[in-house]
Amino acid sequence: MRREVLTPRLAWQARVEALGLDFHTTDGQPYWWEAACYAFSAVEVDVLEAATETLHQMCLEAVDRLVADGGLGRVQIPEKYRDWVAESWRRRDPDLYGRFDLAFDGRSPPKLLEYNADTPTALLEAAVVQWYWLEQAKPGRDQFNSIHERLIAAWTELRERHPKISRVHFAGVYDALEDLRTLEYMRDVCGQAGWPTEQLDISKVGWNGRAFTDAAERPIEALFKLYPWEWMLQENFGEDLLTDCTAFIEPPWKMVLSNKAILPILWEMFPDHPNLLPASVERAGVPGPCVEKPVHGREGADVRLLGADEAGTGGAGRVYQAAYKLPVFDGIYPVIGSWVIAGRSAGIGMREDTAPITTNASRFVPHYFA
Amino acid sequence: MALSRRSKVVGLTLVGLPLGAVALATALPQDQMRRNLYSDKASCERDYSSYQCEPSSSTSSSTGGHGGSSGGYHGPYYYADRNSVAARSDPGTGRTGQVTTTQTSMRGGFGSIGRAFSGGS
Repeated sequence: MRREVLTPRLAWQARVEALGLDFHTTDGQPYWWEAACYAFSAVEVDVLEAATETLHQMCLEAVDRLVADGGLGRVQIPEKYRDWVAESWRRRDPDLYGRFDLAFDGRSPPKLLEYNADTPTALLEAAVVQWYWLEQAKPGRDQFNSIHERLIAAWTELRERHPKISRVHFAGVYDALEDLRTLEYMRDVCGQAGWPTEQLDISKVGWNGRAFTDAAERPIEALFKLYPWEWMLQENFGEDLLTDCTAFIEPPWKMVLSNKAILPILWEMFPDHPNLLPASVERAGVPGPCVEKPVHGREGADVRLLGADEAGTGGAGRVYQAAYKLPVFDGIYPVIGSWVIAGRSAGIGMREDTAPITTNASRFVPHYFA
Repeated sequence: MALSRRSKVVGLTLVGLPLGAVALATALPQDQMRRNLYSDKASCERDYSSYQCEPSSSTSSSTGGHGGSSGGYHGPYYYADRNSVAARSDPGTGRTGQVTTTQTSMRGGFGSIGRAFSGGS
């Protein structure tokens, strides 16, 4: 694994905008960054693929254990929603996608930093934009990225499994450009799988006393939501979710995995696993330097590095994970976003930053392997 | 020869369109559903069976010229377009037409947190 410095393609901005990435620059700072790329060997890609599938299986085992043991309170799911979440798991409501954030230097086993299991973004960049970059900037090279075709296959499978669902609504915050483009892309691949789709701002979802409805007052049969479960539970329609009248993608059981309280549980179930870092809900459970994370934090928000003798904030909403030395290339810290589509490892997207905590401002950098 | 690990083709049909074109492509068909709101149960039962009439609660909001009223009874949902195929099997608009107003769904029950933050992670 290495970082290569490159000359960006001519008119790269227009090229990526044509693919829907019109948020390539935010607040004057580049988000899409093709003045560099990461190069992997085929063996390293095999390692990442195997680690991703292993982690996904471990996560499913963790959900199964928590449901069976009545342990959903450990991942802070409010009591009144626990039966509903458990039933979603027992039915095995199908999940579509997720993104593991991994630390990897090409030599040591990849380490799980967190799992974005509910509303992962940086999808268009990983599935589409870096694919076209490879075609033009590194023709003849390969890329660990079958995200696009696996998404179409996954939507096709979902459609075949639910033949009575006539359309899928795509809800989220359409005012946010990145969310809008992610939703558009998901609608695109869903449509290519043969399912009619419609967009619906999350604030326009209706409730008629029996069913969630769209802007035309039709019951919403299936809803792809780019909107976190933990927010939905807190909002006015939260309890109406318990009627179970809509098929949600991601399904309710995914909220077990989409908060960082799952990290200590994984460590407890699989101690010393090579793809995990020690983690605990108590600062004392992770001796030495560690990273304190909010259970429901997003994009690096409110993450703190704690020194060996430094106390944590405490409280139920924090987890502590052993600090791991990220690889550094030219003073840049990369993190690998490893995508799982319908339970299978599907490819990666790279984010990098000059600081060791990845945030929403961290740059997306393409990759290839040989 | 090793298998390629990337998508063979990445074709897009919707992504990359200008925002205005996206809005046109996603225009909703006109198959809105409504239900009638009545001032009392007896009025409702002139149009529908007793079991189809329910006390109106705050779960729905009124639309139209008399929007905002609450209380009373409401009938079942029906398709606003009476010529649609789906409308053939719904309960209909009621026989008497003595309707206080019609109702559609309550909205805004999701999205309040998202107005401050985007949903992705």
